[in-house]
Amino acid sequence: MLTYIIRRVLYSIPVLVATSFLIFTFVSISGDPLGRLRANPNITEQQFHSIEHSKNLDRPIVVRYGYWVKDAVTNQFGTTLFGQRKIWPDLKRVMGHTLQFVLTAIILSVLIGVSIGVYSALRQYSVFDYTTTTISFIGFATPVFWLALMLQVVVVNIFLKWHVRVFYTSGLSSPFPGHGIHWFVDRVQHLALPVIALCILGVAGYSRYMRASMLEVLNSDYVRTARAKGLIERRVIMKHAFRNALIPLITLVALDFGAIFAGAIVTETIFTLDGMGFYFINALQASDPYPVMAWLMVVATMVIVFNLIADILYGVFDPRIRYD
Amino acid sequence: MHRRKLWLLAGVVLAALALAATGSARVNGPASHDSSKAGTLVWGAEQGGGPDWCLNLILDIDCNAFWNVVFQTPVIRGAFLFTPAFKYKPDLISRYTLKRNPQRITYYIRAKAKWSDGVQVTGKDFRFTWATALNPKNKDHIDPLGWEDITSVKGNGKVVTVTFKKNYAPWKTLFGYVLPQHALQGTDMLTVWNDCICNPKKGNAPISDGPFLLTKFDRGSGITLEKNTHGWYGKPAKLSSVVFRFITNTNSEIQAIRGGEVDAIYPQPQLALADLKGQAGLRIQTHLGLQEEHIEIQQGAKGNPLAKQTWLRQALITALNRTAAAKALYGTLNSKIGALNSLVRLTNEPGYTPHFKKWNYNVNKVAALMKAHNCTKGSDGIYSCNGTKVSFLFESTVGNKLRELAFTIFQDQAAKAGIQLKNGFVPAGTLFGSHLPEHNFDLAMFTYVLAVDPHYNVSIFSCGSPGNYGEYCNRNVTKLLTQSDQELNDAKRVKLINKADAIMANDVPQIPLFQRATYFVYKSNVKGMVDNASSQGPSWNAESWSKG
Repeated sequence: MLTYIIRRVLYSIPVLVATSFLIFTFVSISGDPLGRLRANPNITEQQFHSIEHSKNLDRPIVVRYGYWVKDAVTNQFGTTLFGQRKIWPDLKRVMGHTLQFVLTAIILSVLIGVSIGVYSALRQYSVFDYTTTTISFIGFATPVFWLALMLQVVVVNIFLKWHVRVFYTSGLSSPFPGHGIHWFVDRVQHLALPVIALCILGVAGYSRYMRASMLEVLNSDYVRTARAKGLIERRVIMKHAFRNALIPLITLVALDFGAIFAGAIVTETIFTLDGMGFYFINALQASDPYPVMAWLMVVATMVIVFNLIADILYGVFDPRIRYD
Repeated sequence: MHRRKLWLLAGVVLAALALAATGSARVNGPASHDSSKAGTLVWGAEQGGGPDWCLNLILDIDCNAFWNVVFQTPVIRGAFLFTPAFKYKPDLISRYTLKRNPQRITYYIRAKAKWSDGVQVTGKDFRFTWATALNPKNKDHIDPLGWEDITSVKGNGKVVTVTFKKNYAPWKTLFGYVLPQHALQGTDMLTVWNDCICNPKKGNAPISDGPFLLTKFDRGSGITLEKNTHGWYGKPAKLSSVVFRFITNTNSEIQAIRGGEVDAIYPQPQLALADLKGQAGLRIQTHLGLQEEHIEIQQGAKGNPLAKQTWLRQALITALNRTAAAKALYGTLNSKIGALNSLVRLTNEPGYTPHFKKWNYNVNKVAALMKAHNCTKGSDGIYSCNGTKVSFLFESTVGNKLRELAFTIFQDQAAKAGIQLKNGFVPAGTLFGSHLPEHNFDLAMFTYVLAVDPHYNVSIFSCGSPGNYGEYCNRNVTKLLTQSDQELNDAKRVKLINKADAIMANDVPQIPLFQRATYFVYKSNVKGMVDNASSQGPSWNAESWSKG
């Protein structure tokens, strides 16, 4: 197993290097970081070239990539193009915020999705199964931006009609959130809508996945054998069927955990949450390649790491798989 | 048993959370809610807090943004303030005198002007600001325009004299942001005010010479201003604090003001805002702002060769019903909106003369112009002149719904007049990053965010200027505009600019369309709010705001 892990980590290095170069190239050619200066009629040609030179933007992409790698390795991703702001402290901050609500959303989605999936499989073709299947497909088909906007409208309309603030529609917290339990409640009220929006999509996915996996296991020989041995149904389901049906879901969830670090770009933008996705969009809008690069490298690294974890977990949970 | 206990515990926790979430948030009504406590005004700010965002406005190349001015007008004052009437008003100074040959301005700093730590605002601060602007270390971060024309800044007390090498008409734009010398001397100006407006020599304690102190900058979330209790030259602020929450999505901003989560918003004009008009408890102010929408016409080698002809450009402007388009786009937000008929002055600026008013939408006039130049209509209804089809690629920024709608309107109008406009919308980066500076377009519709000072006309319309994207060149216009930049008498300066505009109204180097409207929405229990559609923004009188 250890050999396998070391081999996978070593394989990841060239993948990361190639990824970083491709990303740097695409980000660099896709926008003009000095575009806003070009649009400023007060900036002279001479000034413009001076700024371009000072920021190495007049050099070939390969050279600029070299500068960026040096900064990324020795200076924690360096600073932003304008404003000379260190990138890493900002990334750490937004990662923490993203983890708060995306992690909550994934945990809730898994709990609800798995429960629905298992029950649907056990009651295949029942009213419950048909209903959850229909709702799941609606969940799949609903664009998250629309769902997020609708949730905002609903909450605001509740406030206007009954003067009860159930949840807030934007931001991470109120201007004066207080301390302790007050701070916690305020945070829950702010994060509830984005969590609900993500949960609806997550539940739709996980429940379908779990249902299919459970049905496959329920029809397998070893479950039939367990029943034939006279085991009680509850034990057959929980010990023999459910545990084995969870294996593919565990790997899926592990991969989703990797994606957590990318944030939820659309959701964070609509609810103005200071998370990874919102950071990425802001950096992209500023056409600043350096924070964009830092973001992409963090996300790419996390995806690679959690891919590895998913593979390892698969081996741990499924005794038929060995990596030696 | 153990599992049952676990489920029970989870149930209790969930129930407690649900109860806390709903019960604790019960409020009396939309006008008063928990997050906006008495004495605190909460704004929804459409910009701010991105990875590149820096607070130091003297670094105008790095940090200049409209919302940065809004955040800081109540904190760091300048020699002059722009009023809602688009005029300069002495702010940190009580008066000034202007002498010529050489140009010499004497500023009389208000006797009561002081920093929040008790240090007086003096000529030292003016000299430090000038020195900072010209410090070679800052050269790629500060636009030296005007600063480099100053030969000396003299006076350490409340009277400071600034002498120029040559006449510099836009001198009032300088010292719009005066830095505290005692706090910043010897610090790295490129980073010192990235995250605070503070005195690094006193443990980053907030510093201000205005009615508020900037006490908190939560990057990505918001900015908090608190009342400057140490006094400033003006009346004390009525509010104890102002909180700017970054809500960069306009739809979310609309929901935030509807739901009473914020007290005021100042969004970019969008049709969705019209829904707020009917809501009780909200007030709306709307004025024509500094954003000038126009169509740039490429007259150089890379454009349509027909566009080099003055008569063709005249035909083009006659083929567009600018007033109807303005009404269709912004009429629901601002009923006063109409066509802008000058390239050098805005409708609400002193000296506005509607030289372009003569170009009204007239299909027959277009036909007459085409006929006079031997152009013939093809089977598709589009004219051809000497074998060249009167067809233009119309570029603008993709994803901007209002511009897409504007294009559809113009395309339809022009087609009726026998001129073809083809959709050439591109990403903003492509338009501003390459097509405009490389003069590689036929027609381009975009917005100039103008300054109150008319200096920008020199860059936009002078022969050979990099900012002259359309490669228009009329030596008389260039001469008049150059003269205007050295004319210290405001009335004479505007006269020179208007002379240039009269010539351009005949040349039609660009098609002025309309000014975008501002849209200022706030709760009716908030008093003292007055929209300032100039570049100063709505926080120009923050000390007068109060909540009922």
